[in-house]
Amino acid sequence: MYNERKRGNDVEEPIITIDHLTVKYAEQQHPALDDISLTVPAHSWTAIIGHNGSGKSTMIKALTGLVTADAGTMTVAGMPVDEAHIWDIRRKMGVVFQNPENQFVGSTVADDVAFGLENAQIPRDKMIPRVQNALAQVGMTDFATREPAHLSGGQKQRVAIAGIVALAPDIIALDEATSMLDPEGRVAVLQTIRNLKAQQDLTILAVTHDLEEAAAADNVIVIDNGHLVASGTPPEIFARGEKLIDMGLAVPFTEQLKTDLSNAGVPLPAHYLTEEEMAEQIWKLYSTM
Amino acid sequence: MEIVLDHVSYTYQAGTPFAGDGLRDVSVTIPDGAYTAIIGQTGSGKSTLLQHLNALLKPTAGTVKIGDRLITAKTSNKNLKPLRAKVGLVFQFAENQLFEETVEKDVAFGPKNFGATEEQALTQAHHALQLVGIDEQYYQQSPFDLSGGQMRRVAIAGVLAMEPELLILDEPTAGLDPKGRAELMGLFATLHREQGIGIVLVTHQMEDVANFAERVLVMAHGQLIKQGTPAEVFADPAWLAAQHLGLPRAAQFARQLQAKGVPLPAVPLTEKALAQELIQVLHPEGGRPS
Repeated sequence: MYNERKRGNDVEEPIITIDHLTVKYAEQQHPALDDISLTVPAHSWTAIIGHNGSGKSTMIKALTGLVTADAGTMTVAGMPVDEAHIWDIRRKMGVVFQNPENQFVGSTVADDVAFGLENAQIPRDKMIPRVQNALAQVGMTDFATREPAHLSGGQKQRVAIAGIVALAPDIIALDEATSMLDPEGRVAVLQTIRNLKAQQDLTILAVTHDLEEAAAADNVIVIDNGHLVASGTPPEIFARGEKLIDMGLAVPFTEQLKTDLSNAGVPLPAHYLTEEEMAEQIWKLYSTM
Repeated sequence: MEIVLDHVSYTYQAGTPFAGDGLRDVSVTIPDGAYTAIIGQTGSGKSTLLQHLNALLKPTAGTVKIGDRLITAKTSNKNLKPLRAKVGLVFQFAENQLFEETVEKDVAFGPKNFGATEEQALTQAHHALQLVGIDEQYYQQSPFDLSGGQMRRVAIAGVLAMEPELLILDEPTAGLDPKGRAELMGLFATLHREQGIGIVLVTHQMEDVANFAERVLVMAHGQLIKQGTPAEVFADPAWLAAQHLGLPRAAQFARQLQAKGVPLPAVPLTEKALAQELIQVLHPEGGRPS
């Protein structure tokens, strides 16, 4: 899959541009985002990583007008992020937040997924298959008539994702949307989003702590204390090794293993290796012993 | 404090059309002072099981013995306070339960509620805040002005302030960044090691199971389907996969290597153990065990 994916270098028109963005919350001393400039290529999967409180989520809120910029400009799908365009932008960019607990409005799972469609005045005959389809894509079909309150955390999150999927936006922003899912659920949701992206040519902007998730992205942006500290392909970012820990992140598993093996004298290349590449290297060393 | 579940079943919304099985005939002993992990797919009954450990839920059938208290379907909700002070339960997203004006007051609320004097409650609160690494400068701040990771710590301090003998943690690190996660897991390990506090941890992180747990309970469809040491539970990857559960990262990678033909003597559960084995297999020139 690593060979198939499109690299950020295949230049696409940016679907999101952020130009010298600064956001400062009234009660805080330092800006949550400090003079950030970046672009997100259309149809890319862009991961934003950084520790808790680094400003990652603020960026998504700024793009969808949930917080206002103190300085700088942004565009989403060719429209400036301002009061006149914010409703159009929210139709183009769906956000799945970290904790869906506070987002439930429907008395059943299906009603909840339908809520966004009702707001968008989708006719009932079109709504029903879209709700069913969205629930099927997150593996929650069997729960359509259940009360959301009685679902487990992971199940609730999948329903929230279905609510966004049903609206079929151009951009899906995930604000740590998979952080509460069990490993299987996480894989299933990411696969769902990957499929959706491929089928509907979506752009994915994913705020995450999950380095494995970031490793499968086209581009990775690292935010630390409101500053953009790095951006590049996953191998470029992950080759930073221990420096990632200073940013509140973790060293990817393969890098950690490589460090321990290299320290013991096992000859391994310095650049970042995916798990597959790492296994290949170890097998080569073993077979030529 | 030992907890013994004897043929415990629990039905959600019993007697309504929404009735569903939460637990089915679960019998298990959680030994005094042990570090126990509970794993299982989403919806397998892990959280339902947890809530029986401090009588937040009472079994529909069977009995739960918590220390010397016996809890059955008929147990009244009165006089459960002493028990709940001894068994501290940290819910998922515990920070959602913060409510007081200041960090200090929020953490002191529990001990006060359980009968401590103002002064005693504050002493316990300060001690708990120290344990979770919340600096004194935050004591008089609103908990809602803190970052997500700090709020989580304050909420955990609120449980620790009651000085529980057993700490029950429902995915305590969910949503935290890797550094925050490592710090919290380190704190729980320290409490367990140095103060002998028993830990029951519900988690999806198989690395945490491999690194910290002494015993593992595996839940599926409301039933306890396996228990053992991490090595025993992770010994059968095919069975785990059938339960929709994974292996720790290191074990997964080791299997990938074995499939390629690199012989590994044992299935390593941690990255360090894997590195050790590989160093022995590859015996690099000048290699030294680290």
